[in-house]
Amino acid sequence: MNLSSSLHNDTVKHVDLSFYVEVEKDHPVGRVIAKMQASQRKCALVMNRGKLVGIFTAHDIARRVLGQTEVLCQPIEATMTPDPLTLQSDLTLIEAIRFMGDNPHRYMPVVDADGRVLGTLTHYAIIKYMSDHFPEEIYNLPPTPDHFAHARDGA
Amino acid sequence: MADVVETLTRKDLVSDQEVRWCPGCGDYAILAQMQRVLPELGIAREDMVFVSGIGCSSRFPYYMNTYGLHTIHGRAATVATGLKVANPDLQVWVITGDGDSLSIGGNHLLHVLRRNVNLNILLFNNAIYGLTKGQYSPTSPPGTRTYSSPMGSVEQDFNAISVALAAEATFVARTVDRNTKHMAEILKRATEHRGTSFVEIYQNCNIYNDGAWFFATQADAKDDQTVLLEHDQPLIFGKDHDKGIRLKGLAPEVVSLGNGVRESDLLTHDETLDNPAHAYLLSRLTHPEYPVPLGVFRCVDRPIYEEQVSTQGRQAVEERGPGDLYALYHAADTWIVPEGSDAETLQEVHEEIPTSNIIPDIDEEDPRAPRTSLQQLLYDPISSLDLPAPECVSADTSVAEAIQAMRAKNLGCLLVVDKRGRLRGIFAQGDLFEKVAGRDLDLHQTTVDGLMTREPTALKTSDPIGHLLHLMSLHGFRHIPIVDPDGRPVGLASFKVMLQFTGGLFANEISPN
Repeated sequence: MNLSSSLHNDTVKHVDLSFYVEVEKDHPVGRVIAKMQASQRKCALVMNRGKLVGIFTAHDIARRVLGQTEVLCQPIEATMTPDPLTLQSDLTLIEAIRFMGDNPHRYMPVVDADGRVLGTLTHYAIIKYMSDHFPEEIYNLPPTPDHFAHARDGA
Repeated sequence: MADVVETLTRKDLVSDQEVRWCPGCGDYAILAQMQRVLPELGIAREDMVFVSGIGCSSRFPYYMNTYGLHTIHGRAATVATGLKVANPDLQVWVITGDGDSLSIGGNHLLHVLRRNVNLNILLFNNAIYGLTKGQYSPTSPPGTRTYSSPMGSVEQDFNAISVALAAEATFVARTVDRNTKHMAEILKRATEHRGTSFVEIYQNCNIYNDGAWFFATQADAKDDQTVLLEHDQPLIFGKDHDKGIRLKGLAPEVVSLGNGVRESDLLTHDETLDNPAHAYLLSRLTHPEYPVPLGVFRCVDRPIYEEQVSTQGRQAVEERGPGDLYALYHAADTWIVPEGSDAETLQEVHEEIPTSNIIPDIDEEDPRAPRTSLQQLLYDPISSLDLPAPECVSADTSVAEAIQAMRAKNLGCLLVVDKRGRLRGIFAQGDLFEKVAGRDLDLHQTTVDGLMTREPTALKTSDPIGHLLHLMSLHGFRHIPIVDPDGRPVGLASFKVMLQFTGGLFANEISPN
């Protein structure tokens, strides 16, 4: 469980890629948002006949939907970001982290060598992956750092 | 409510539960006295609580039509303490036995007594474990033959009154199941006493220890073998009131009145003596050498536990303001207990992270040692992160303005501050997603005040980066404000900042594999 080793050897497919929903390109925006809210996923991959054609995220909602109610009835195809960048599933995690640190994208669709969608890489999934390496050091912390013990107590 | 209390009758206190004590058990007598006495005390039924441990006697609460708690073995006094502290208006009775509170719960009994919680403890002493079918108990005299001591017990027994006195009890009394009048008086006295009232009740187990207290109950013998303690009265006993207890030095002796022995020569009882020596001496009067005292051994005033606790609580609130239960709950020192079952994994982790860093130990840490990437990730202060400055707005900013600000600077969130610049809330893209998107809100009329997350979790620049990971990974906080000691935002940590930091730390490391 060496983090450095894991980051260099594990690939994006080793991370939880399930934080997204799939919708069809002709779904109206309002319906897509409702589906995202119901499942608490801030990312929707827009598909057409099994092929990834776009991405629609909470960021897009904030930028292009709010305050424009007429958009809600239009197909998602018109509001989504078309032809999104994707990550190859054999990309190492350290490469993925570098990429996502340097780019504004919070959600990156992950595809295999045949172009099949495996899921979406999110910031949260990476943070969780790292923390899982150190459950004692990360999870077993007091809720505020001020209350950290200064010495071992008890037997 | 006063009328209701006045009209309370014994029947009101009888529950619909089938009483399961053995026929003829002394417990019935105690139950009957309790149901008789309580209505006379003018206490509303909803204010009475019976708390018991484990044992025959501890079935008592089922049979009282009041609130009741059948708790765990030996812990009735402790549960009752919590109850009384939480609601001092209740009248709390602890029902326990010699095994429950002198063996299994011995420690708990001692401490409720010295704390002087204002509750009443009735210890049903039958000198046997009845519920488990007849093993010797802490009050069984040496030599007692039982199923668990077929050749006779070899253990020194406890004297319940002596134990209570040694534990600084402020009210100590003894009565006996078959003397109903005396028991009623003692129960009333116990109720009146402010502080912990400890009452030992000699109770006959007619199945496994029949006759243990017959010396104190048999009509033809009891007057000669017991002495009733009455405050400010000489210790006189006997069917004909012709015998008494006199002190010879520190040793009590039984004397007959007459022949030059007068009442004034006898030991006079004083239950109010602050020094418990007198009461203790009386407690050592045991059968068959002496008449066994029945009555109140000791009744003194001392501050009451829950009143002092409440006073301190009020004082603390006055001086320091209302507390934060969340912080308090987690305020104790914490430490890591390694899982022994996964030794191999632990070994690997500990090779990389010295134990001294899990619980920082100044003595063992060498400040000159180069810090590894991992140590930096977990323990370096947040100030070593390259944090963007937060964008701050006031709570009366409209949602439309907030959206505009986030769009203009491509921000994931805004921090909401008060007039003095202190953090009051966070308004993030997530709030827009969850609370605004798809809803019919007038974005110009709605303010961020109603939609923001109030008093968000914030950290200081001196806190370890590991704590950011803790909050992010356990609670899913994408943005964590970093504030100065006055609560003013000085930075904004985010998932992205963590990824950039991690990427920088580990990208150039040579992979071990």
